[in-house]
Parts: sequence; structure tokens; C-alpha cells
Amino acid sequence: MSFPRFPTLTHLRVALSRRLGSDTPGLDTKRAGRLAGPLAGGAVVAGLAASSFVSGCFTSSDGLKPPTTVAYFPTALAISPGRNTLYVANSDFDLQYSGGTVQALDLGGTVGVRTYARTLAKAIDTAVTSGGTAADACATIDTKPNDESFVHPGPCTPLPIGLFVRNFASIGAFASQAVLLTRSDGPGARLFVTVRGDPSVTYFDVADDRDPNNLVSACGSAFCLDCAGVGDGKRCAPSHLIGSDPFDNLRGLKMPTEPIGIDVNPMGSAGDPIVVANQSSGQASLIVNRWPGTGVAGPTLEYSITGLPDGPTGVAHIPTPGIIKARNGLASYRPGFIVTHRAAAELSVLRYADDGLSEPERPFLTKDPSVPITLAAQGNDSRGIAIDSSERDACEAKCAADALSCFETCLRKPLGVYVASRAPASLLIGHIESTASKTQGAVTSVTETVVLDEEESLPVGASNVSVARVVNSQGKLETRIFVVSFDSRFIMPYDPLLHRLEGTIRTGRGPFGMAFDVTESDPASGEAESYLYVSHFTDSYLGVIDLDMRRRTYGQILINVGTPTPPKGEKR
Amino acid sequence: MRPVASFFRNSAFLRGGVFLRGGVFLAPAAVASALLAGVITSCAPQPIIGSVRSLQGSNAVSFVCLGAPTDASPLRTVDDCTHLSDAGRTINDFGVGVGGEGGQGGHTQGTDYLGEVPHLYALVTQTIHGEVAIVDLTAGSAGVLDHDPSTPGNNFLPIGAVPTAIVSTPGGTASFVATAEVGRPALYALPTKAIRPCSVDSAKCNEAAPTISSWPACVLPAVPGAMTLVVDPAVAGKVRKSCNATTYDDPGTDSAVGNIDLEGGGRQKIVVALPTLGELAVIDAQTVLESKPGSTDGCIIERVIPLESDVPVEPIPPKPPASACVYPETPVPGPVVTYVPQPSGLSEADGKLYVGDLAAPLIHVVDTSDPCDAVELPPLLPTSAADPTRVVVTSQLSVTPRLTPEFKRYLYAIDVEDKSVMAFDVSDGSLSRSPITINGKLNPLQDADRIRFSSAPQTLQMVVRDFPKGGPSKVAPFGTRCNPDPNETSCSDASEACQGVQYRTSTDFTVGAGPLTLRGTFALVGLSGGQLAVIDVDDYDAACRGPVAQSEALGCDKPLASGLVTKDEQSCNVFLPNTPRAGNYLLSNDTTGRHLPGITTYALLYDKNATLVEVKPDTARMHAPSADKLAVNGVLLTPGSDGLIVDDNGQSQNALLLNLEDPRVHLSDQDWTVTFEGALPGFNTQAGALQLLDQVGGGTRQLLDESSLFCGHGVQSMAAVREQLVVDGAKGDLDAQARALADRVTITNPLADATNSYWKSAACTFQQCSGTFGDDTTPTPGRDIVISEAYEDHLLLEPPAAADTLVKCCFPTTVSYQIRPGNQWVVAGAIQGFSHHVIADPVTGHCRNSCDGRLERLDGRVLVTTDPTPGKAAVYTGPEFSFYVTGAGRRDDQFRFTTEGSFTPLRVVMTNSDRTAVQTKSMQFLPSIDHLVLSDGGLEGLLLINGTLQGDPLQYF
Repeated sequence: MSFPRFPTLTHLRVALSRRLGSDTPGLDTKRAGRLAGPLAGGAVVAGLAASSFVSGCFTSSDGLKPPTTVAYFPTALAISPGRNTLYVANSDFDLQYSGGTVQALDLGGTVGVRTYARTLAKAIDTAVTSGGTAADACATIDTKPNDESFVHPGPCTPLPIGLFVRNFASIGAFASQAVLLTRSDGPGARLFVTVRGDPSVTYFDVADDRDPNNLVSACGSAFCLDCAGVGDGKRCAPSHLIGSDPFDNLRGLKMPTEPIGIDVNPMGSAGDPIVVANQSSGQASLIVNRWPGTGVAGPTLEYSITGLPDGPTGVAHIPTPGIIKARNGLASYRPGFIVTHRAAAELSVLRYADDGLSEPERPFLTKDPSVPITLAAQGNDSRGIAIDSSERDACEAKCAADALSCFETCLRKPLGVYVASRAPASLLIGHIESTASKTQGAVTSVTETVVLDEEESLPVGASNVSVARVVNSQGKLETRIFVVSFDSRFIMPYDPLLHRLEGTIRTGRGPFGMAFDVTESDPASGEAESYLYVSHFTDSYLGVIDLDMRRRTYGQILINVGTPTPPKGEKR
Repeated sequence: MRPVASFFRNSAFLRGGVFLRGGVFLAPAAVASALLAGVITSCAPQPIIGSVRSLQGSNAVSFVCLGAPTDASPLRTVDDCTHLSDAGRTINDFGVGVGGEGGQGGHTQGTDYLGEVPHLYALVTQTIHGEVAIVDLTAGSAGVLDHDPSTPGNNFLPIGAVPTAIVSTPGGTASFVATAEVGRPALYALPTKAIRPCSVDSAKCNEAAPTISSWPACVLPAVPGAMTLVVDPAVAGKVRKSCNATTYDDPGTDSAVGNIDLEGGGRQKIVVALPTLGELAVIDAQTVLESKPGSTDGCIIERVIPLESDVPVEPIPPKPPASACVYPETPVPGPVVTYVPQPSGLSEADGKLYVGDLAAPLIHVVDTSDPCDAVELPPLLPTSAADPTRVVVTSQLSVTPRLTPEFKRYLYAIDVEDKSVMAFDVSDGSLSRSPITINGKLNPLQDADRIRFSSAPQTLQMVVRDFPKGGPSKVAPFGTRCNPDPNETSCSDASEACQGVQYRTSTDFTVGAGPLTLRGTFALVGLSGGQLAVIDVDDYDAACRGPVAQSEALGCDKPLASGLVTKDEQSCNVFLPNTPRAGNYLLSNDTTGRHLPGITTYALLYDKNATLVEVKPDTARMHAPSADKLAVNGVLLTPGSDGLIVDDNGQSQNALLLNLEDPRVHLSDQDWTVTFEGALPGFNTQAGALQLLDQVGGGTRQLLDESSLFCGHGVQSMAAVREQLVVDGAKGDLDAQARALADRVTITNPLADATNSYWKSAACTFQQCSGTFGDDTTPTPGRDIVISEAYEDHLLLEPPAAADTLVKCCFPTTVSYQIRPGNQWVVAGAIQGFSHHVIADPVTGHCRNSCDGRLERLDGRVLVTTDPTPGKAAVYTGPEFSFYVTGAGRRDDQFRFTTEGSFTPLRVVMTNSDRTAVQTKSMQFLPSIDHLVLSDGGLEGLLLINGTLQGDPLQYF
């Protein structure tokens, strides 16, 4: 093994990181060594070392161009709003190349990931009921039965990812997380990826495919990845690296180091606030996205709030209550974001202020009182966070636009809060209470309180959590919370109705990013569908998990996309 | 390829952490750091001893007691197993006389059973891997049994995924596991004859390791929740084989899987909760046991018990008319509300099955005295006094297994959302279906009907415990109460009164009535932080825990007694039913430590510059309202008739009265301040938009701050004060009086610097502003604006002393502010904060005092006493102490004192440096071994805590 571009200490740390296996990509800084996947090659130790030193060493000026038709330490996943495209961020975690990539994969086309997964699921059901074999089923997608199913679960051999890649762009190394924003009051979609190597948030104009009959795309394609990329490698232009230029914002800011978690509150023409957790500096950054035609074009870094507890990691936005919109400016409210910390037993609640009364506007963040984590004995290492607003959303969807009492009633529907904690490994479960202040019966403001209620034990190494829906045995969608246990290579579905884990989903090594491909009614079949895409960081491939309870393959990996490839230098 | 896990376990390089089954290695952070450092700096890391963890994600537990495998009839009841963790005893050693005296954890060695020592086995469900682990609790070590020695690590009994519950029959014939695997929810039967591996039962050595298909099983119609066993009673020794049978038959003979009927008492029925169907299913246990191994046939549901789904909205008792106060929002009485019931926890006693509900605000009560004809009785109604509109749902619950000596029975339940515990009186004849009111006026700091903890309750277990002492003529009966009657000087007969003398606290406090002597009925609550809380329900020693001479000031009821033989703890409410148990004696002495509530030094008065104020005739003084004793620095002192205490130097010192009626109000040792016109806590970091009249007098004077929670912080407007004055019958100019007492906004912004360019364009000058308002360090009264009306998110203001336009000009931006009362002292604790009972009127939004009389003591405002004669002084009576103040005060003059001897609830800490996290998932008390058995949802396996609550827990993992 050679490391031609880095100094000795770097070599040692990277080598150690690789040799001992790795935790969530660079998220662990102090405790990274505690846990490792069963076959990851041993204890994971050097997350701190690996993450803290490499970010300052990365350069994109030379080196090999990243591969565009394979996954390479994939981390974040996102799906286009119309379910046509899967975006995959590859992190180039061992710095073998000049950077990472973002790939756009075909999901719903004839040669699409979901198309293959659906075909195989039906073939397996058919094979089981008609006495067919695994070979028969796998043959329907031109594969063979998988003989490495313990390490890489799935019934059939993997499909090459290149089969599905329709577009790509190059970014910096150490992409961590991504969020896809669709414009709430018009057409438009953007993909934001936190990149620790720059450090920046790199953004892409992507296709808005919500309306199948009216694709809106900056580059005319459903697989658009417009970051003003240049050259063969389509390297994203500096103008798409938010936080790289201190002169593009009023405060002269640059993105603090280690941008990790990211989330956005879609507010449309008013500007979409995006909060980014900067892990090593105890800060969170505010980006405001503005759409074309609303004044300042494009997203800009606006503010960095300091003094947060150590290790900001995960971010989730609190959905704005419908009563605020319904009151049409007569009720005051500051959109909120919750931030987890991997080195403090608390959650931070940040509030976005648009500074609308000032000229020029200089949006900023304020901090509410922290939410202490007392559910667990330690609670000082929380990672992913997700908020479930499905109950309130369903309630508000039934309200007429001006039905204030209806929206006020819906305000009583609490929002679910779910946090993946590693100390001890558990899912922290809570809720957000919204309280309306009223004067003579009219709502004048809404405040929110975050409360943690329960914990559910998890296998070691909980890292990421998402809210999604599965198809139940009656063909209806039901909410589940999915928690990734990176080290134990499990994904655990949690049933919020029954207050318990529903089972375990065995994955390959290093499950990390999740994206959910869910529809209440697929245009072709008219039926509900649900798939979970998971990035396997350690062996650089993707898995597709069936989330349809009507099938025998529920909760199992259906197909693997990309050839599982162990990290270089790993002895097996 | 050599198994990775095996390689690691033999590797000195990685010793020092925890190995999990499957090869996962969990290293402590310190080890990881050392490892990293070692790799970089040295080739010889220090080996550290590690431990193999085989239990992971433990959940429900049941127990069976078995004699030696060679015994033709090895089945025993759990009560027959009295040996715990015998030192030196191996898993296949059942002989008498083996092992040392007294197992680990302080448990006294048990008695032998018919010439052998049967072993107690815990059947522990493993949620992650879908297994049941068998743990021998009698063996001294290596209690976790391995069912497949050919595979590395300990291997358990495989069952379906997501086991939710496990029960064992009373005689130990079989155990049943409910699993919630998607697509195949099932019941599995584990015949006890089959649960011991080759290492214990040599007859198993020729058999293959068990698989999921080894067990009799049937498929449930929906995912199961909790499960319990109830008995269909035998008639003349005969049982009916099914609910539909018309005849009763002999129990029959033993079979390969066992015959549960031979245990006696009747036919065992499994009652399993089906949360998604909102019902309970009754299934015959023997039928499941006799099912085909690996069967996918549906379970035969003998009876379905649909649960109540309609919740009555109880009519609200008429409230007295509100006078200067408001009632919180209450549910509107009306037709029933229908929920979809979702049964959660189960607990059974004396033929009544109590069922928690995670969707409906009900605790179902089912008469299961005849499980084939089970009838749902009127449910209990979990409600919240603090928030009557909240839908209270429950998870775990536990009912007392036996009646108290007064024939009372209690049910405890966990309020999931509130992270608290409720108690219900479920005694025969009890009329109430709502939670017991626990805390009255004396303790408004706690909700009226809740027991709350520092972290969330996760598990719950009611425990009845006693260890009867021998008297001169007989052993005291179970439940004998401690007797402090001074007339019972020596015990010479067998009466309970006489026997009760034996339980008094010993002279050296080591035995007898005391915090760690658990005799009676208690609720034990496993907390998420890895602690165990103890709730008093009925302490047999309560009468011996109080003062020698009772008084009302000490919370004693009439008729008052004196000369009692106690240790003179200074409250009659050291024990209060359904409240947290005290962790200490309420005393201050060298033996027990300083635990009597008191103050560390006399209260002293300081001015706003923190300078001690010299005592002069007109200086403000703090007086005790009565001549009851006050503990100062641990010494009990008595105030004089003027409410002051004369110290050793002959100086009159400020005094107050610590409330000892309920010691639980003293939540923590803390610093207190009583400040004249002090700023109410909670607004230090707030900033709001100050709106005043414009040049032509238009607009509204108000302060807008949506995150302020003005009512929640206790703001009292002029309108609120005036209403109160009217109710109090005040005379004179009420508006002027209200204005004088109302809270006011004090602007705290500094002025813009004199050189700031703002002044060049402003309509006012720096000098004007400075002269009118001062700077932020020496503010003038001009910064005060009286609050005319308060709402949760904004304040309406009276005209400021200066012109509106000048105020606005001098403070042109968002203002920071304080809220201060007028002409009153403000009581605030460093931890407790400022007490009040102001709420927002649900109709108008106005901030007003709550009409809840229980909260009256929550009012941290003290008027100045002008006439100190008894009955005329303006006595402040808060939850913790009372006093009155005479003399003149100046803004920010401040009395300071520190309280000590706060109430410390009894806690058992299950964590330690090696066991940093405990996530309790189940808890059961086994009287035969006098231990509490807890399972841990993480990696800590089983923890066994001695009934004395002392010593390090035993642990199996």
C-alpha cells in the first residue's frame, strides 16, 4: 500500500483506520474505536484521528479522477421527488482519488434499480409458491444465486452499479450527508451535500420530477446534476461550494470545519433556511437558499452560531405548523431545528430568524434552552435525528386554507422525535409539543417544547435514523422508524404505534445512508410501494430492501447494486 | 477460515473490552484511546482483562426451578429454589453441602429441598437474535448455559424473531414465548425437560442442538404483546381440557413434553395481548405444548376478550366561582370518546387481570377467575390532574400481590408520555377509578396525582416484603407493625402490639425501622438512568419513624401524642403512602449525618452592591412567624416572640420557619434570595419588540416577545392585582394601589455610545436619554413601565414616565428587559427558581393566578409587613419555609440564606465504572431468593439486586 500524497502521520492514521475497520465515516472523533462490525476486521479505533486530520489535508488539485461507474465508500443517498433518480454521494474515504462523486442512478426506467428490485421480488414470490428455485428467480434479473449471503445479504449476485448510473459530478472528499430540497411554492429542486474535505456544502440543481408530465430540469434531463461542473470529471465549480468564498455573504463567513449533518425547512420564496452541524468546532451554520426570481439567487452562507455543546452531528428541522401559514403573518413563529451532539448529553434547539425588518437582511440563528438527555445513563453520544410529522400532516391536509380552528386542533397532534444514541446504543423517542398563545381566542404565536419520553435498546453502533413508511399486509402505508446500527450491520425498524422494534434487517458491512422510495400509488400498478436503499460504506455498494409486508422478502435485501469491494489492504 | 470472533477472543492485542456474540468487539473509550496510542507509540500494550458478553438485548424473563436431571421428577416450584449463586457450585452439581455459606450479593444461603439443592433457571428472551437464553442462577459462576458447544460462544434456544413475552407455568412444566415476527407472529412452547443442555443433562448429549423447529408452536392471528397465565380452576381435582368441554376429567399422566395439569390447581390458560386487534386471546397452554414441533398451524383461540374502547367523559364537578383567578382548560363533558384499544402491560392478582393501554386512556380490568368466561369490569381511568385534557396512556403496570394488613390493594402504572407513575386504589370496595391524589397543599411542587423521577420510569414491580422476628413466645406474624408506644416497654406476650416493639430503630441505627429496612408494600421503579427508585406504599415500620412529641408543625394529625419511642425524626411524614421513600433518617447527628432540613447560617441582608447592610431600627428584618424550632447549622434553635433568634453573642438574627410537614418539599440544598423588587427569573436572555405610541398618539403600547412565556414566568399585571384587591376587600384608590404593586418592564439596554453616529440623526440627544434613563449600570426609575395587562407572548403597557417618543428614540431597537414587581420582595431559589401559580386564561389569554387551591403556596411574592402583631403580619408561606419581613427595603436589597438537609429519595444505583449503562427492560421480585431480577436491553444481561438494597448487584451476561 502506498500513500504518495500524504505525510507519514497521515499514512499511519489512514492505515490504522483501514486496518481496524471504520466507524461511521469520520463521525466518531473520540469514541470511534469502540465498535466494529462483526467482520469489519476488528475494533474501530481511529475515527477521531481519521476525521480530524484528513479534512485539513485534502486537496483536489491533482491525483486520480474518481471512478464514475462504481460506488466508492458511499455515504449519503437521496431520491428525486418523483422517484425517478437515486443520488449517491461517494466519499473517497481513503483518499485514493482526487475527490468524491455524486452519481445519479436510474430508478424507474426499464433498466432501473427499482424496476429490477420489483421484478426480483415478484419472481421470488412466484418461485416460492410454484416450487421454483433461487436460480429461477435470479435469472429474471440476469444474476445467479448469491453464495456470499452472510457477508453480503441478498438472494442474488450483485448488479453492476454502472448499469444504472446516468450522470455524475465530482466533489471534494468526505461527503457525509445530503438533503434534497424541492421548492414549496413552485417548481425547482436542489441537492445539498455536506463535504468535509472542502469544507463546504456543495449544491446541485437537479430535476424536479414531481409532475411526470412536466419535468423541470436545469439541464433538461431527469438525471440532471448541475453544479457548473467542468472537464471530464465534471468537477463542481466553486460557485456551488457554499461557504468556500467569504465574499459571497454579508458577514464574510467561511464554512467552519467538519460540516456533517444537514437539514432544510422548505419555505419557498421566503428563502429556505438550511442548518449544517459543524462537528469539530461546536458550531452550526445557517445557509439560506433562494430560488431564481426571488431576489438574491442561489444559496449563501449567512451565519454560524457558536458556543454549542461539543460535537454537533445530526440536524432535523421542525415542520412549521399549518396555523402559522393560515394566520398569514398575524402569528409569530421562528422555524426550529434540532441538533444532536456526539459529545454532550443534550439536544440543541436552534431557531431561524430571517431578520426581515432589517436592511439589509442578515438572517441568523438563536438558541433555545437545551433539551437534556436523561433517558439513558450516559446519553452523551447522539447521532442521527428524525422528526415524524405524519400525524399532524394528515390532520392539516384535511383543513381548508382558512380554517383556523382546524389548524389549531391539528396543533395538538404532537410531532415524533427520534434520536439514534450510542451511549448506550438506543433509540431515544420523544415528541414536540406545540403551544399556541392566544389573545381573545386568536392565535398570536406558537412555541414548541421538545420532550424525550422513552428509549428502546439497540444493537451496538446506532448511527442514523429516518422516518419512513412501509406497505402493510393490507397494502396500506404505515409509519416506521428505521435506525441504522453501523457496527452491528443491522437496520432496525421501530413501530411507533406499538412502541417497539419490529425486527432486525441484516445488511452488509457498514450500513450508513438510507433513502426511501415510497408511493401510496405507483402510476403503473396503482399499488403502494416501498423500498429502502442503503449505502454500504465499508464494502462500497448499495442494497435495496423490500418494505412490502405482503411479500416474503419483507425486511430483507432484495438486490445489491455495485460489486462489494473490501477496503484496500483489508485481510480476509 | 478461522472465525474472526475466535481470533479476537484469543488475541491479547484486543483484550480489554467486551466481546459480543457474532464477533463484535466493544472496547471502552479509554481502552480504545490506549490502543490507538499504543499502536503509534509502543509495540507492547498492557494486556487488560476482558469479558465475553453473550446476552444482548435481553427482555422478558421467566423462571423455573429444577432438581437434578437424574431425578425422575425434577420439576419444582420457584419457591423451592432458595439458593442463589452458590460459591463453588457448578451447573451440574445438585448436592447438599456444596458451596460456601451465603452466595454473592449478601444473600443468605437457602434451605435444601428434599436432600438436594434444586437450581433456579432464568429464561431470558433475546430480542436481537430471536432466542431464549437459559441462565442458571444457583451455580456460582458460568451460569449462562450453552446449547451448542460446537459453535463458538454461548448459543441459546432459537425461537421466532422479536420475542415479546415469556411465562412459565407455576410448577415449571413448560414455558411459553410470544414472538412478534412480521408475517409469523407465534407462540412457542419450551418443555422444561428440553431446556437444559448436554453440559447439565447428559441425556441431551446425543441430541442435535435445538432449532426453531424443535419447539411446539402455533401461529397467532396478530403480533402479540404482553402475556400471562391464569388458571381455569379444577373441580374436585379434575380439569376441563378446553373451555368448550362439558366435562371435567382427571389430569392424566405425564408425557414427553410434560403435563401441566399435573401441577394441580386447574388448567393453565395463556392470556396474550394482541395490540393491533385491541383484544386479549385466551389459549389453552397444554394444547400449545402438545402442538407439533415447528407447526405453522394457527393457535386455537378459546376465547377472545375484546377490550373496552369507549371512554366516558366524566362530568366535571361544579367549581366555585372564580374570584381573581382562572381555571385551566378542562375537557368538555359530552358523549363517550371511542378509541382503538391497544393493550400493553398485564398484571394479575386474585382473579383480576389489569391491562394497560397505549392508545386509550383506560386501564382495563378483566375478571379472569373463570378465564373461559372472562368479563371486563369497569376500567380504571388514568387521568392527569395537571392537564385534564391530556390522553394518558400506560405501558407497564403492577398490582400488589397480596393485601395490606388493612386489606388494601394498589395498582401502579407508568404514564408513558409524562414519564411518571400513577397509583390506583383497587381494593375491594374502592369507589375511585382515578389516580390517587398523592400530594396535597403541603407539597404543591409535585403534581397532585403523580410520582415523578429525575429520569424516565421503564419498569415497575410491586413488592411485599417482611422478615418476621421471633418473640419470646412466638414469631411475629407477617405484616406486624412497629410499635412506638412507650407503654410497651418489654415484650412479654404474643400480641401484635407487643411483637411490634422488636422493630423499633436500634440505638446505633443499624437495625430496625429505617430507610433501608423494607418491611411492607413498596413499588420499585427501574429508571432509565440505571437507578432503582423505591416508593412507599405501606411501611410496617412507619409508626416508629417520627418525632417523640408530635405537633401540627411537624405534619402530625390530631390527636397528638408525646413520649413515643422513636429516634425523634422531625416530621410525622417521613413515611407517606405512595411517595418516594426517604433515603436517610430525618435527623442531624454524627451517626446518621445531617439530614434535618435547616439553614446553614442566619439570613443576612445585602444591598444591590452585595454589601452587608448594617442592622438599624428601620432596616428590613426577616422574622419567623411562630416559635417552632429552626435548625441552624444543625442545631435546633427557638425564635423569640419577635420572630428573631438571639445568637450566642446576644445579637438578634433574622429567622424563618422551615416547613417539616412534608419533608419532600425540600428538593435540594440550595441558596435562596429574598429580593426587594427583584427581577423575576427567566427574562435575562430575552429580547422583545417595544411598541409605544407614535408622534400623534397612535398605536398600542406593548412589548412583544413570542418566546417569553410571560404567564409561565409568573408575571402579574395591574389588572390582575386590581382584581385581587377587590376580592381582598381593599379600600381606597384601588387603581393607585394596583399600579404600585403591579409588575413593570425595566428596560436594560445600554444606550448607544455617546459617539455613535445614531445621535446625529436621532430626534433626541444622548444627554437627554442619559439624564432620563441613566445607563444600564445605574438605571433610573424612568426605565420602568408598568404592565397593565399580561399575555403569554406580549404585555400591554401603561404610559411610561417619559414621553413615548423619547423612550422610543433612546431605545430604537429590540430591547432587553427585566420584569420586576412593585413594592414586594421576591423569593427565589438557586435551583427552585421563583414559585408562582400564574396561568394563561384559556379564554382571554390574560395571565392570572390559577384557582387550584392546592397551588396557593406557590407564590414567591412577599408584601412588606407594617403591623407585625399576630394575625396582621403579611406572612409568606411557601412550600419550603415561611417568614414575614418588616422594615423598609430598597430595590435589589436582598436577604440571602442557604438551606440544607434536603429530602434524598432512596435510590439503588445499578451502574458503576464497569457497567456504565443499564437499560432495564423487565423486573421481577423473587421472594424465595429475596432478590429483584432485572434484565438489561443492552449488553448487561441479568442484574440481581438484594432485597436489602445493599451490596453490588449480581450479574450474568
